[in-house]
Amino acid sequence: MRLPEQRGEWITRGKTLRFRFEGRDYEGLEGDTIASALWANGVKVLGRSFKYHRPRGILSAANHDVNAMMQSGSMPNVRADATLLVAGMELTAVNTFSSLDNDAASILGRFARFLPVGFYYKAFHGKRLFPLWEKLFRVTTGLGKVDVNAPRKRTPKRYGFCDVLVVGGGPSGMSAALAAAEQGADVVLVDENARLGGSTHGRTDLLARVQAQPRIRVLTNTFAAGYYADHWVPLVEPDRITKMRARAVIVATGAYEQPAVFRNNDLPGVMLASAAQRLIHRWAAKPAQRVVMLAANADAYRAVEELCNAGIEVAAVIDLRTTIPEAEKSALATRREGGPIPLHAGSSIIEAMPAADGKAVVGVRTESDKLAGEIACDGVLMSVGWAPAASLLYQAGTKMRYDDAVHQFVPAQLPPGVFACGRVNGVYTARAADGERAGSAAAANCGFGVAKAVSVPAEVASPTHPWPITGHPAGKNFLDFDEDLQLKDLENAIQEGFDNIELMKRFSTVGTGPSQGKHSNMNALRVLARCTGATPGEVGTTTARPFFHPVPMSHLGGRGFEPERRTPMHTRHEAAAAVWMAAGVWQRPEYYAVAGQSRVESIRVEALAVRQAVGIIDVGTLGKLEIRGPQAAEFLERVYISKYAGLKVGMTRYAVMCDESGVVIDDGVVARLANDHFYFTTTTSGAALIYRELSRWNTCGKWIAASSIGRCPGGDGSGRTEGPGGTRRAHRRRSFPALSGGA
Amino acid sequence: MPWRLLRFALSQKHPEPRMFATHDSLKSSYDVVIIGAGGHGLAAAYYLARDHGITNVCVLEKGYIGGGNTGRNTTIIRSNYLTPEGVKFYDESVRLWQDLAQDFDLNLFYSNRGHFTLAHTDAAMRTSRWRAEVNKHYGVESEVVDAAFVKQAVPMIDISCGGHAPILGGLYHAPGAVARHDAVAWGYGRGADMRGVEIHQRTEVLGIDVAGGKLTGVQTSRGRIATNKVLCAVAGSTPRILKMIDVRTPIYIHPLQAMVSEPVKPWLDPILVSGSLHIYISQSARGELVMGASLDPYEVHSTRSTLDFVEGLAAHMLDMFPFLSNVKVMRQWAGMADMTPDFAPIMGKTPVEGFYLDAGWGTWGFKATPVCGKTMSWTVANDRDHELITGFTLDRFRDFALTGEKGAASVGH
Amino acid sequence: MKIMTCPINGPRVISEFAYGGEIRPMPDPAMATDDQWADYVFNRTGAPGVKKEWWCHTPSNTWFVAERDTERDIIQRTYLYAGDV
Repeated sequence: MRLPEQRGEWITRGKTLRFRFEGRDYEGLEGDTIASALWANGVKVLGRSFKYHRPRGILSAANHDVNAMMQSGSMPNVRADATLLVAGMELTAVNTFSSLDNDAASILGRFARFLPVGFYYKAFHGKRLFPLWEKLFRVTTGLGKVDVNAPRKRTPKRYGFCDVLVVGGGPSGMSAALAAAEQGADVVLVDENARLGGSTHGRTDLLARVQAQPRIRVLTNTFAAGYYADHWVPLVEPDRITKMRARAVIVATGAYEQPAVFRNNDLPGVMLASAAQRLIHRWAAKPAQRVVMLAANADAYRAVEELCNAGIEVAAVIDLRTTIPEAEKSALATRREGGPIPLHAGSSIIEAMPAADGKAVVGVRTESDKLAGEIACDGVLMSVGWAPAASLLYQAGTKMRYDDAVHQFVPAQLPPGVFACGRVNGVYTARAADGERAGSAAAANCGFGVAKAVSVPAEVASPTHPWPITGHPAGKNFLDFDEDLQLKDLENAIQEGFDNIELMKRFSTVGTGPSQGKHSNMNALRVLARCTGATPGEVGTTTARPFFHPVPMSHLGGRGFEPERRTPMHTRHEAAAAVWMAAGVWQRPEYYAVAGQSRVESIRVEALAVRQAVGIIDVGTLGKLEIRGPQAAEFLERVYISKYAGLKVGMTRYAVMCDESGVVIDDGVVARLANDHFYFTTTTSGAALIYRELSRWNTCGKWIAASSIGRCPGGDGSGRTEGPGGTRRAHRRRSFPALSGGA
Repeated sequence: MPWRLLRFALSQKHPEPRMFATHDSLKSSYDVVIIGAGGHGLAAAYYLARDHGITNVCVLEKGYIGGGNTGRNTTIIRSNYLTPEGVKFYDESVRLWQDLAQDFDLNLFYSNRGHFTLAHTDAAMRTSRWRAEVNKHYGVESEVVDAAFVKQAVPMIDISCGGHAPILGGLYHAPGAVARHDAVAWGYGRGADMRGVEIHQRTEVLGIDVAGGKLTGVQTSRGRIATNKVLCAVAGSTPRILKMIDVRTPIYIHPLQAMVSEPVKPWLDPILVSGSLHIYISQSARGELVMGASLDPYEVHSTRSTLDFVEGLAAHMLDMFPFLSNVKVMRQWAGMADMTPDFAPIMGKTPVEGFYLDAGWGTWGFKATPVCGKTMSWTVANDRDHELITGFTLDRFRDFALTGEKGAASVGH
Repeated sequence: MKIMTCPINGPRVISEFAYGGEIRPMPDPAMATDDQWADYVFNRTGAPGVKKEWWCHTPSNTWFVAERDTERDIIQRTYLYAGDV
């Protein structure tokens, strides 16, 4: 259902886009994502889960809704929550059997008790039967389908340069970009969303200031895929990759809102509060009619206000905290006809109640005694905490520490030229100030102005709850939605001895799905800490490897650059109907096609001609080097096994080259052009390497002093006559410069 | 549904004990100390206990079980090597792999997929023939195949590879397989643990005591251990350990990187290696495409990733499979490969009496895990190099008698 | 991509450079024993640390010395070889 116009919404009303999903026709609006369009159409089951094939809806609406992946023509694994809707799209949910509505594989959910964590290690390995089981596994595994007939895409790459790269266009990132630009730095600001603003949803004056600042280049719909040495950051756009070289990088990537763990927390309609806010502000899609908010921070109460403003009924707020700041509670006061919104402090949802068909949430049960019954609702929002989007910081080599004041990891020591601000830095309240601090420091780091002292007050209350987990004994307390892992799966993995973060990940597969643990790693870490009596800081995190979001192969492969080299005789070969073969980067004739004859027959014709008369072989691809100097002969004797001191000027000698261990590595012909001047050849493939290695020996000097080694240009042609007629026709050499040495 | 899973449904509590015990402290002495709880170290511990009755053994691990190259490799198992020493050795390993899951009572997902080494040049075809001849002589299944055979086995391949590196044929090795790498370490670890071996994770070796050319003890971050025998199986950390005993070797460390795609429905059955394009690919049991390429060009002792690696790998992979343009790469990673000049390992006794080395496994060590465990445990137990490893001893460099495996190991790993 | 500074051409991306290994003093080939020669040819200081290495800027064929921390891959200094390494 679509809400009335929201200020700054991303959709264009009146611009209708028709599309199909699972065989049915729908209409969305320009600016919609696939997920927002479907949600606005009242479609809440967007996909099936990986293992149990449970129905799933929107969780984050922030490019980690791995359960809402679609097949769009030949595109597998299209993320519905982050992919812009295009008219005419034909979409189906990935990895369903028969259909999304009636997924035959959902029967696996009934066998959940038989399929504990790592169950596949415990059975199926009978020698005869494993291949059969494996066939079955291969039917059920994987998500989208590759279309083996899809053509190769050649996606352009470009190189970018800037002083300060700011990753993340929320309040801290925008503020950082402004501060850096105002000090004179050339700034690039990237954000993965269609518009800047982050969680402010456009309601900030920073936006106008960024747009007015000529030293800031803004790239939206662009994500920084990874951080590589020397501030080298690939920026991935829908149809291009920009390899950005920055002099300083500011990581303002924010934080991922984290789900709470309770029974049936995966039902369609249960989502992060920030997802509901995105649905409202960006796409004016009504997240639900009547919601229950599971809260543990001030963000929850801000969200309640926004929900009420959008006309959504908030049935109750259930707060994990026992004491809640008065300022936060004020949002509840007069928001409902018939009194304030009921608040249950120090409580939790222990169970979300499914509809009869299991495809929607219809209510919640809470821990609170006063509320033994159910609260009916069609939406459950979770606002219990955050995890920093710190992967770029980790890749840059940042040392992180767990900060108990905000219950998250924050940078403890940043590498040179790398800065962090905002939520990823543990700053939730004074994000703009933190951005200004980082932006000024980054500009100063590049030689623009001096780093301003900006005071960034510490958080008064933690935005994150240290234990947003309520384990229901009946299970279905989901912790990793990508991998369909439940709380007990992790507890069991730990019981089996996989009690450090890396082993737990590898055994349970937590965090290894397509979202790479964006909404599961932090809760997994908390479970491990609690089970082993360690602090989260002691448990530590797994290694955050590239990429931040998955990157298409076409982006990485680019246009494909296959340079090829041709000899000066190339046109002559062509005239002789040469069929080409690659010899490294060189093009060489494999054979000369004789009209009407096969490859083998053509080769026979050629062989016969050389046997009986004469042929010319183009050896222009060989390496051609020359060496001059009083010790040139001695030098050659060091690398070739023969003697050259006695070679007469004008004569040639076959040469075999050995490395220091006595292994033959190359061969060629050495010609003496003058007493102190030799010309010699190497194999085609050895040319570059041999030249380089001989140059090193020459640089080494101490060993022997030849005065110069030169490499004749690759285009310098040479030919050799073969066959009994060769000597007679040797004068033909003059037609291409061979032993004359220089070009 | 196998009956074995019934017990999970019938028990209230998860009916599985710990796979590996934790030990509060180290003992003051052990008969054998193994450095490195990767596949190789744990396999040696397992066979020492099972086959040689030596159970007063501890395995020291700086990080966690299987956390090094065991958990970072691309899990290819094959025996189509080039030298007689190599072929015999790896073939024994492939034989051992067949029964490993039963030995452990743990599913290793040992999956026989068939292995192609694609040849794009006449020279590569010649190497294929050479390898096939050596392989067949030692009873290893290897066949030279033509382009049509490749096309039939992998119909979706672009046999012309974008026009600039047409596939002429290659070497087909039917026994080629992949396995679940982590589970191999866990299986050996659990088996060793059950037989009394102590595994100490998060225990770093800080020094090694040698007196009069004989090994006497190991200094660790948790105290000193007296022992007369140490087996070092630490892959990329080998030079750090060897420095402690002042033994020089040709081992040098270069990173090897790899990448994996998002899961897609299985479409690729065999393992493919292309020497000319410097790439290889297989599809895992999870549907992820596991892809790799050649070694990084210079020495680095860390597991950092580079962008140029994934760019080059993706470009060449698209030459072979253009339709993968739409598939997304999810993650890249690296391991530290302990390389040798001849692409063969360094195994056996060393100049320090009682110090045994299982190293130089570069980029090709996973497949050898069982046979290394077998032969190294025998070597340690008997203080004599096992006959299968005599081609791999450190002496071969002093004697200029290399075991050249480069032709079979450089990209194929 | 990582950047290296060629002493002649200035900072360039690492793909323009070829690695030549650690600089190892060569024994006199005429005088060295087989064992000494084998040690020189094969053995190296495999452990991580700051090493003096040969690097070549390939487009200009400039060989030079880099002092590099091989553990963290940090290039500390590059300079032309002056025969005193």
